[in-house]
Amino acid sequence: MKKILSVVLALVLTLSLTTFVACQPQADVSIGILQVAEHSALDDAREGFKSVVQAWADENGKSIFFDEKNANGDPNNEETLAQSLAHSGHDLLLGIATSSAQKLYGNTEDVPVLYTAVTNPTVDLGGLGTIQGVSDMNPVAQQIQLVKTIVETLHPEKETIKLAFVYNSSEGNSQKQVQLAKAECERLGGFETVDVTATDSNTIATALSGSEMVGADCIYVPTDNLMAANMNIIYAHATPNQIPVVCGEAGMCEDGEGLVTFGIDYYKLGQQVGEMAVQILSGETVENLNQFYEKECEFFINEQNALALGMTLAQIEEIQDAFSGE
Amino acid sequence: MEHFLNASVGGIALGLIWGVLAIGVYLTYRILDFADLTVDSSLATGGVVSAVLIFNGLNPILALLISCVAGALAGLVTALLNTKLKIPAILSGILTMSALYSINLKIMDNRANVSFFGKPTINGYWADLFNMSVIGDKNVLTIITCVLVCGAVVGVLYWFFGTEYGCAVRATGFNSTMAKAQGINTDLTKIVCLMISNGLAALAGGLLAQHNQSGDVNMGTGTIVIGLASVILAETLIKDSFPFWLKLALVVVGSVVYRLIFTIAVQLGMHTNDLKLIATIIIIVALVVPKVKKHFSSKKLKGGLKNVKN
Repeated sequence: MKKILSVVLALVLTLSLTTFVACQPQADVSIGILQVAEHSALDDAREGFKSVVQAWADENGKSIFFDEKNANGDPNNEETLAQSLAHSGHDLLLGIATSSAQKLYGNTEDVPVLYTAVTNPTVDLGGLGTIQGVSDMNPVAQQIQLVKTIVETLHPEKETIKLAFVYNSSEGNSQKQVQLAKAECERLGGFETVDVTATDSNTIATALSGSEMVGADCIYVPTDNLMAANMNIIYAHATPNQIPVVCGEAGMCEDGEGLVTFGIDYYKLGQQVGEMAVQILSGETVENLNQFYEKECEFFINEQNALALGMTLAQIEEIQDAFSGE
Repeated sequence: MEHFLNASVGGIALGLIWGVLAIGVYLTYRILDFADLTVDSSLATGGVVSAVLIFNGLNPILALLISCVAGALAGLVTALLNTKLKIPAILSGILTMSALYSINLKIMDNRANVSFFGKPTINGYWADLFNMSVIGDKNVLTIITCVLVCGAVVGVLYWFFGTEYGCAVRATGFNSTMAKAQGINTDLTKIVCLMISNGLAALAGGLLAQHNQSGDVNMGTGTIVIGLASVILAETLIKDSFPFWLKLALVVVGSVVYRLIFTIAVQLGMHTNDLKLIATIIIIVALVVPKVKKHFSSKKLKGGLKNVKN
């Protein structure tokens, strides 16, 4: 009996910690947000989402409450948080990144759920019926178009472009992107493609000095975790050989290694989901949502590297205008 | 209040799933006296094996059993590293744990996540039987599944540890030198116990994957902390005189209590960034309460003696 009493006491003590925390405020609209972990790209997406929904609420004179839960990378707490959000009487739920979206969809039937920052929604959220949101799949086709523009600018005389895909062959995400990229090369015509793959940082340099790389006009690096962390190795090989490097996302160019990208802006990605949320809050049903959103992408060129490759400022501006306008 | 109850039912469902794991941890940590960290990954192995098999259309019960076998094999590796290659217990657990991460990715064909929404899970049987919704009544269905699974696990383990061989396993943990002197092959008993324990962790992983309807390479993160916390909470309830089956059942209760505290804290509006702190406080309180009580009861005894003297 005493033991049970002490356990109860322990429970009460722990719970008393939580009592000073404010309970959910009363608001006209409440939105639950589940995010898998602290991560700058995901945080950007969340803030973008909130900015649009908040603007809508201000315009319509409604008070809004964002119930933000972060699983801190712990998948077990993530499920508990998903259950809690699903049963908190929210008007709308947002899952940021694949696992959070999955857990929200798996726990709710009657509350609309949106997703963002999910790369492959048809596969990872498949079989769920109606799913809505904005994927963060790379705009691979446009990036290949970028490759073409860059090489044509640098070597107008070339008839076929030899393009090297540098990626980690054990990352499924990269395989998928390369597969899409090759399809796009096929469609555009005039490409010769080679795979230069490595599975750890020690083998990247070896792979780059292999026979496949001879005569390559351009290197394309998808959003590959291994390569993103080792852009300096690729850069060290590409610079002396005057090979431009087109990357999957801006982070890989900003640090001075890659040349150019046309990739996703996560803040804008969040804003697009925010617009979908506004449609739902204005009375649209999930099924009728306008889902044909063009992903907002961002053009980024490392000017220093571009000049080193022999591009003129006028050429850089021309490319920039062509892509920023899209 | 209704939201609160619904969320609590979810907490109980998860707590019961983790209860299967907690029994596994209890076996190694308390019975065998072996701090096994393999469970962090063998739980994920169970989850991803179930996910891949169900995704490919295998029967969910069969998938659970195969998960269990996969986890047992992981336990076997740790046990062999420890007993045959003489690698210290903690290190052999860590080695298997990190190697399994790559293997788990391989099982899922180098993807980090496999989902099988819409495919039949073990919960589907009860949904058909009681005419419930697989998503809306998910937590109730999981509770039915897990009560059955926990019941079966406790029953089988109660029987096993009552057999002559089960007693040998317990003796190994209690005093391995003495057990050896009695002619017990302590290497083999360690292997058996670690295989059972990791088999249970993988079973929990399989149940978790079926509950979430997806398997994830990171689903085992923090498993050992949850397992140990559940065991420690349970031990504030357990008395030495309790029969073995009751001890195992109370370990499951400890796991449910642990998960419920999280659920309630979140429902009360606790900030999610503070949850890990809460977890630590719970464990410390559970560890300290028995000591404080002992302290007070021994004081009473001293006082009694003084009275006698006077």
